[in-house]
Amino acid sequence: MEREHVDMNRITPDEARQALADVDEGREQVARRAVAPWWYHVGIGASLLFAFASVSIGWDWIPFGVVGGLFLGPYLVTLAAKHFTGVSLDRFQATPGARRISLVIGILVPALILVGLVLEWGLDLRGAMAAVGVLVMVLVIVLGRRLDAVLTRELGRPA
Amino acid sequence: MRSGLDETIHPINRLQICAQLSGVESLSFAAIRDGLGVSDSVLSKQLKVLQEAGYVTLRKEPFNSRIHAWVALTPLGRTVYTAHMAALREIAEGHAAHPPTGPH
Repeated sequence: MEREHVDMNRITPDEARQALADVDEGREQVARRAVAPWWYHVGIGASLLFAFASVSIGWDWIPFGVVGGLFLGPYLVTLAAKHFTGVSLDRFQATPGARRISLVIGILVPALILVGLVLEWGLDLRGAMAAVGVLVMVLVIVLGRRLDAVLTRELGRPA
Repeated sequence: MRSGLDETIHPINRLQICAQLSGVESLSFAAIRDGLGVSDSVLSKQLKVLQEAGYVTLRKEPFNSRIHAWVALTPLGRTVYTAHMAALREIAEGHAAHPPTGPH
């Protein structure tokens, strides 16, 4: 029911508690909606896999891998997820827990890139970058699910 | 009026709209409507009040051959919402500066 005509100087503790409970309910609803659809992390991971694999495929593929795998793919998947959930947020930075997980991804992915490049180009091990890409994809999917769990918990936390 | 409380935000639908928007960048019109369980017209009316107060912005975005409306809290809206919540918490904890007067 709409409470349009409330005397703001006469709000009782019970009314205030009810309003706070309503607010918590609203935040919990958004937290549930904010969970990425199952294909989101798979899509991000597949984009990165394409970027990594392009190095193994050949020089000519690297520009496509970089543009498609690092920028266009993640952008389109994020846009689709935003419209699917109706929630726009930077899910990697939205809450302290999400930022911690993003930091782990931010350290592990460049480290894996370095390892892959050393194996592929330094030791001439064909397909090493593609293999590392598979590892990165698994990492993104696993940590992405963990990130969603943290987001749900922290976004829905009482205000 | 008690410091921090805001008449524009306080009605339950508008308070819930601000609460939903407080943790995210923006929400689609449909997501807010479904969350509140109200009709499009009711939500439009509430959003108009918040928009006129400068507390939210409404952005229309084409997607998949349709127009989607996205609602976001403005910095002013966020400040007012935060202050309102702090005042509500204070009252809820029983520290009201102006307790209601009972019958004598």
